[in-house]
Formats: sequence, structure tokens, C-alpha cells
Amino acid sequence: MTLPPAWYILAYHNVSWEDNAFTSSIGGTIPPDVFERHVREAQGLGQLLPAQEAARLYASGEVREPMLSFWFDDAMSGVVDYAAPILEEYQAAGAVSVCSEFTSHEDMFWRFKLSYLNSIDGLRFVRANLRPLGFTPKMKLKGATLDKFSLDVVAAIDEIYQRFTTADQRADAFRIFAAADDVRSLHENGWLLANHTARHYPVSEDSAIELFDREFLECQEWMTALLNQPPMHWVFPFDRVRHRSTELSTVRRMYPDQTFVFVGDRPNNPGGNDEPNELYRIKVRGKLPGIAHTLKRVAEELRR
Amino acid sequence: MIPNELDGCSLEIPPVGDGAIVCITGRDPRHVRFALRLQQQFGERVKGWYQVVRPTNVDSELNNLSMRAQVRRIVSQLRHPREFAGKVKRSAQSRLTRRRKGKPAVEAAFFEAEIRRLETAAVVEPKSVEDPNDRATLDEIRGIEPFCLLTFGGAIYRKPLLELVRGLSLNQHDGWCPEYRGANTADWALYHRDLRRFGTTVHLTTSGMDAGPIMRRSQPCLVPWDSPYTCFLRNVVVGTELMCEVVKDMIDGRSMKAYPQPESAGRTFLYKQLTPTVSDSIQRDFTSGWLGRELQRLKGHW
Repeated sequence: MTLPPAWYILAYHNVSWEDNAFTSSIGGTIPPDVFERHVREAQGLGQLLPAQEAARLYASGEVREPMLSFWFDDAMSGVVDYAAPILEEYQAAGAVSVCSEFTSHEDMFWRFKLSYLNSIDGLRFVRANLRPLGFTPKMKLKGATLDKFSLDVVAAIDEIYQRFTTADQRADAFRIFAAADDVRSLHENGWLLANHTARHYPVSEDSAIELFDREFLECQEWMTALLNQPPMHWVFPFDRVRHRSTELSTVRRMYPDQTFVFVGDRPNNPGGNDEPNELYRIKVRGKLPGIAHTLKRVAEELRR
Repeated sequence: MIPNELDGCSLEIPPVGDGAIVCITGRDPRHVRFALRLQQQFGERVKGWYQVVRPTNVDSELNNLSMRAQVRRIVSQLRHPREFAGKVKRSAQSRLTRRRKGKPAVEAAFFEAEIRRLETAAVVEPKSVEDPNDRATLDEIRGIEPFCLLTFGGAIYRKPLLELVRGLSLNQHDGWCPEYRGANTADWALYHRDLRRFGTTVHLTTSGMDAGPIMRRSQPCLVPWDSPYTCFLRNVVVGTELMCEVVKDMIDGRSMKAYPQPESAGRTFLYKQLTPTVSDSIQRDFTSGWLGRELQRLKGHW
């Protein structure tokens, strides 16, 4: 399979041997041996490049061959422990999107709280808490909590999470996220670090677009203090294409210096993207043995 | 993760000092990875690595002999009937587990690359022992004055050995305690289609089988095309990573809690209980694609 020249950014979440109660109901974790297979496969499909370097080449329009890079959302500890050493062997440092509240171990990702509650049969209490907010028993919480997202929904989930966990468990749960020092060391090793908002709310959707500024700016401030430089890439959490707010383009224009990163499942072509300051990524289905199938589909769409 | 259903109690850890670590393992690649991973993580702190060599059985002793030599060997062994009976028993068990054929190759391939990488950071050579509780081994370990004794596979560890440790003795168990204690627990969790309790436990070592207070417990990341054996191997790797976490916490002087297992809960599975019927049943599930469907179900239906 030959890929047309473009920058292909492969989007992952976590690379780890472990998939515990906080992550397993959400998905997005792949084991290191499978990830290594993906990297080997990617090497045969184009030029593996560090995300920083590929971003520079892309910005200067120098995309003469297929370039592939790896991007990890949420800054999970497995990225530091397992993905980084693998990518180092291939000299292809990746990019990582940081949620400041998770990395500073201040707040647990609200979706992970749901996953955990699912594992201990706690969702029935969440459902009861959500009924006054318009949730019906027939709704699947996984999708409905996103479709009907609000800060009240987050609070209702958190109330049950606090009820069913001890302080020790809550503190221990943060081990799934990289610590601030780990994130800094990735930066020092040539990784591209991006802003992924403070708490991973769906700020690109109508339900949370009013939180756009607060969430990105809070994370921006935290990351600037950590890295001594502001991150230039802002990555949208969730990025459900069909749910993007019509106000998104207006809000984005207030930040002309930032590059906005979507999923989009398409590669990046200089001049081919909808806006010059945006990037797309290709979501890799972690539970497939390889990436060729995904990239083949993307390449076919690109040719069309 | 720490267990969510058990109450924890604080552990008093003495000053770490040089924090000498001794590990006792079996001899399979997963055990080798365990010891090498600890050496990679803790370097010179690892002062001793003992590999428990299982006593030979009749089959393996006779395999390489001519017919006449085999007869002579058997006749000579009949002079020590009790010892001979033990060897026959082990041979019978070994025949029962012949169904594991092909597994050593799978395991070697699974760990090969990583072991090669980890070997570059090795600081001690493994030493073979038949029984880690024997006097000579005890004397040697006493000389090391271990702060931690870390065990994975191999043997039953008796009180005199455990009493040599200044800090904590920890064992990696490839089952979800307290529900699955004993032997072949990964298989038993699969047999019961209990993927939520397909996991691994690091616990304080006591003379009871996998019965010590729990320090950490978690689950592996499985993929739909896994076989029962690769599920097991993934589980093992998670256990070793948890072990590294616990030891690191201990050496860093963090406050630690242990979660005693309720005596009345769970079950201890014996080696002999894993009959071919059980193994075949697990295999049938995997052949029919159960694992992929179950992973999808756990992820999607809520």
C-alpha cells in the first residue's frame, strides 16, 4: 500500500499493559506489544517523524512524501512508561495532549469516574441522580452524558464517585495519569506538548461551548508555568464531528495564534485543510492488530 | 489499584537503609522478565536472584537414556520406593499438563525482545536452588540482610525465610485475590467467564497460599485475538509492573497500606483441579470468539 504525500497523525490514548476499572469501560488502551507492531507497520508506510519536526515541515509546506507521527491524548502514564521508549527507538518522538487537572492530580476525568462506577455497579445511583436532569432509564449513559452534557451532570457523577470511593482510592486512581514531572521530561525529550483543556469537557459542542475560554486558558496557564513556554496546539476533547457547535469557528477566531487540532480521520495536506491553523488526526482503533486497514481507508478517501 | 471492597491498615516500614532486594522466581521467561525488570528499576539494590529448579521427574530423567539404561535406572530407583513414588506422581502430573504443549514457545516469543532489552541492565546472575527454604540458601540470604523479598512462582516460602526480611516480603500472584487464589487462577477466571476478575495481585507473603494482605491489584489490557495463554502472559506483565510500583513506594518512604483478605471469602484452586475438561471448555470459548465479544460488551453496554 502506498500513501499519498501528506502528514498522517495517528491518534491514540493510552499504551499500557494495564487496563483497570477506570479505563476499561471507556476503551482507548492498547498494550505495548500491539503498539510496537503499529509503529513497525507505520515505518513501512512512510517516513516516521517526530511530531515537532513534522509540524515544522508541514507549516513550511514541505510535504513531499507521506509523513507519519503519533499523538496521545490525556497524558496517561503509559505514554511515558511504554510508548515513549518505543518511539525513542524509532527516533519518532510523539505529541501528547495534556489536561491540566488530571496531570496535576487535582480532578479525575469524569468519564473515568463513570467507568469505575460501571465496574462496581454504581451506575444505577448515577442514573437516579441524573433523572432530574432529563435522563431516562432507557438512555445509555456512555453516550447520553455527552449528548446532554452540563456541569450539573459532572456534579451528579462526582457525588456518586465520592460516595463509593475512599480518599485513598481517589488518590491512588491518579496513578493512571502521567505526573507533571513526567510531562516536563517528555517536553525535554523533544515531544510536542499540546493543550487539551483543564478537565476534558466537550468544549467544541453546544453543550459546553461557553466553557471554551475558561477550560483552554486555565490549562494554558498551567502548562506555560510548567514548560516555561505556552503550548501552541489546542486539542479538542471528544471532537464528535456531527456535534460540533456552529459557534466554534467564531470562538476559534479569537485565538489566531493557536493551531487547533481535531480528530477528523483525515491526513493533513498543506493548503488542503479547511483552515491553515488546524490539524486533523486519524483515530487508531486500538483493538485492531494493525493500522494498515485504517490508513488504507483514509488514503482512499484522500484520493477521492 | 488498591482494592475497593476491603479495608486497609497502615504498614510500619522500618528505615530503608541500603534497601537490599532479593528475588526468588521460577525459571520460565515470565519469571526471568520479573527479575530483570526489577533489576532495571532498582539496579544495584537487587542483591540476589534465586531460581527454583523443580526436582526432576521420571520422564525427564529417562528421556535421554538407552532402553537398557532406562531399565537399570528404574530398577535402581525401586530401592528407594518413597522417592520413586514421588517421581511417578510428578510424571503423571506432567503428562496431564502435556496439553500445555506449544506454550513454552509462545511464552518465549512473547518475552524474547523485552528480555533481550532488559538483560543489558542486569546486575546479578540467577542462582539455581531446589528449595529456597533449605539451610544453605537461608544462610546466604541472611548474609544479604534483605529489606525486600520479592517472589514470583517457584515454591512455598516458609516462616524462617520470611523472618529474614527487614522490610516486606511480597509475592506476585496471577489471580484476583481473594476470589481466585492458588494455581492456574487465570484459567479459572476465564473458565468462569469472569473477565472483571481476570487480574493479578501483589500481596504480602505469608505461609498461607496467596492469602497475605493485598498491596495492589489490577487487570491486563487484553485484545480480541488473544489466546488463553497470551491473556495469562499479559496478566503476568501487569503483576510485575505492580510489584515495581509497590517496591518503589516503599523505597521512596511513602505511607503504605495493606488490605487483609477476608478469611471466609474467595477460593483456593489446586493444580490438579485444572482437568482437560476445564481447559477444553476455555478453549471452546476462545475458538468461538467469546473474548472479543465480551471485551466489546464490557466496554459498550452502559
